[in-house]
Amino acid sequence: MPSIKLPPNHHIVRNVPWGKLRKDENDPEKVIGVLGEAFKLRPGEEALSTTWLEYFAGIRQEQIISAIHAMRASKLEIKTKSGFAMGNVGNIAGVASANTYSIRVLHEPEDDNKAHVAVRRWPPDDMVLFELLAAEAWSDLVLNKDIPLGAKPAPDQSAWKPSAGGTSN
Amino acid sequence: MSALIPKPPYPKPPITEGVIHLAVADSAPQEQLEKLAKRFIQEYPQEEVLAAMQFMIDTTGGAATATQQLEGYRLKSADQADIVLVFPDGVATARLAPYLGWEYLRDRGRSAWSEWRRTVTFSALRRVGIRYINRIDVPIKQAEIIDIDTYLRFGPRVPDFSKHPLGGYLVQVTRPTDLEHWSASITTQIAVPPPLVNHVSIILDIDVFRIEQIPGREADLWDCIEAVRPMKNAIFESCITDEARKLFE
Amino acid sequence: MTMLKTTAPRRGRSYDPGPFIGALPLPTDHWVERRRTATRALINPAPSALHPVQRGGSLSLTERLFNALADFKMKTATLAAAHFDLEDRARLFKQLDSLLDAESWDSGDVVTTEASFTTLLRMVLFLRGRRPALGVTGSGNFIATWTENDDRLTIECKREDRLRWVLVQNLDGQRETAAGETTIPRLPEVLSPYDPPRRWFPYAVDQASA
Repeated sequence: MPSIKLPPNHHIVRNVPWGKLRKDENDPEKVIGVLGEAFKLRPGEEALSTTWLEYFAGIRQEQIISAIHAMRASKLEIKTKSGFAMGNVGNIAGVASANTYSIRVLHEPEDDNKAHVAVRRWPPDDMVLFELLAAEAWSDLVLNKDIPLGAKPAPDQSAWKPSAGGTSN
Repeated sequence: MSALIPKPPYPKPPITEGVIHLAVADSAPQEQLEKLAKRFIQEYPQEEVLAAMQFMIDTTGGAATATQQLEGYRLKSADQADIVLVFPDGVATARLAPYLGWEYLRDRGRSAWSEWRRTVTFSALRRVGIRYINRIDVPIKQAEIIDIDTYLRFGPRVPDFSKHPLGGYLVQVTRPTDLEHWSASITTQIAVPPPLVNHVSIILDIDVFRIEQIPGREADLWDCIEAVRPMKNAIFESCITDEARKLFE
Repeated sequence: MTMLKTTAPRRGRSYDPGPFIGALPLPTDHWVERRRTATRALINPAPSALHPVQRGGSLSLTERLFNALADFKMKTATLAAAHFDLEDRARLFKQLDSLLDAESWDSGDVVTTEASFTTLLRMVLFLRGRRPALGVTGSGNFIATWTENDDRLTIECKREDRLRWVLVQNLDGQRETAAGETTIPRLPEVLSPYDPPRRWFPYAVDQASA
């Protein structure tokens, strides 16, 4: 089954470990944003792993909680003090394009996370791009501790269905 | 440029390490050292075992054996700045930067020695030492030649066989002081590589020690240690110049 | 005049100077390092320089983080010395304790290295001015960050004084970015065209311009 390309008005969520959150200079426990390092591929990774927000039903806040619950239920190691950076697909692609990268944001469900999205053609190490994303297009941040307790796998089917025109890959 | 030369106690003393070391004549058994190390755990929660490797090769049969010999324990405070070393033949108390004053070090040294006395079978003291390692950080602009004599009154006397400046040096002298039974060992060298960017760091290591007529009574011992402090300070002051003092602001 | 007291040889015995400098190999024997080591034997190692026995076997992540934290604190004492007061030290240690907490550490990350910490500390002491917030990379390096409204400076501290820096700033409503790799002594000069660093560590930037 071909991968679905996410519409540009949709959003993706990425878990950001504690060490890659931007902190206040005077208070190391106060988070003020995301570091570009949060968007760097690990050695061996071919795509940036994220979760699709609009895969889940409900209003925005409900979608956020569902997405994070799904990530908690997955194999991903979600630590208490980590955060979740949310970004608009179109904006992320736009910033990447302005920096000469033509990325692809594709729904690639995995056994442990049906809402998994892979961001492909991602540069392995462009810190200017990553810092720009952290400053703007991928800077909406929710802290794990602010999301109600709970973990629940993503449903097998997405709540969002493509229109007749389709945006599949 | 300020005309004021700082006087001790300096706002930023150049001390990187202050040590009080008390050594005894006999070696304590291992179980007593282990017990002593445990007594320090609350105040110095990080314990490390110090050991030396010994290799023996049988030249007839060709077999080689390696054994570890316990040399003591190093115990550190949570912030790593206070250290107690337990050796088979004594105990040393050290304070790293930032230096908190003589009383702080002395009181810790006294406390460590009390624990030793309580735990280890009595043996007469054979050496008492107070050692201060100072690091004088001289700011420089990129590669530059400095005149060590600008900062230090104690350094190498080099024969005039070359027009090139020194690349490094090490000088150590040992000399009895005017205080009866006390001697001083003073060492100076350049720290390589320099710890700070665009600085040259001159080490001045002063070890004041006594190996004879060491008082046996606790109170007399610490009075004796207290009495040497002004002399130790005077040695330091006699080694440095006013230009060095300006760096301690 | 430097007076030196010498010891006369005992009757019937040839004079033995003992293990001293005359026994050292010549530099032309390319054993310069052995000479240095031998002369260092004249000096008792400081308590902070004594090395503990290396434990065999692999350590857990918690143990590795704990050891790293201890090493960084020791390094702060020995490197920063009098240039870090109690307040500076407490502040840095609070940052390190928070960052290297095993509960929060991403187990996929390499534990931050002493080499990176040394670069970080040397850089902070060199720049003076505002102290940064800290983060970590996945590959074991510290990240120093300064943030003010929309202006962000991020510096990855690599080994041996090498730095990778990225600046994102807002200039009259326009986004401007700059990035590069340099070394600590060059950093002020490299950043001097940009306003935020000039505000944040004016001493270093002004020294570079002088």
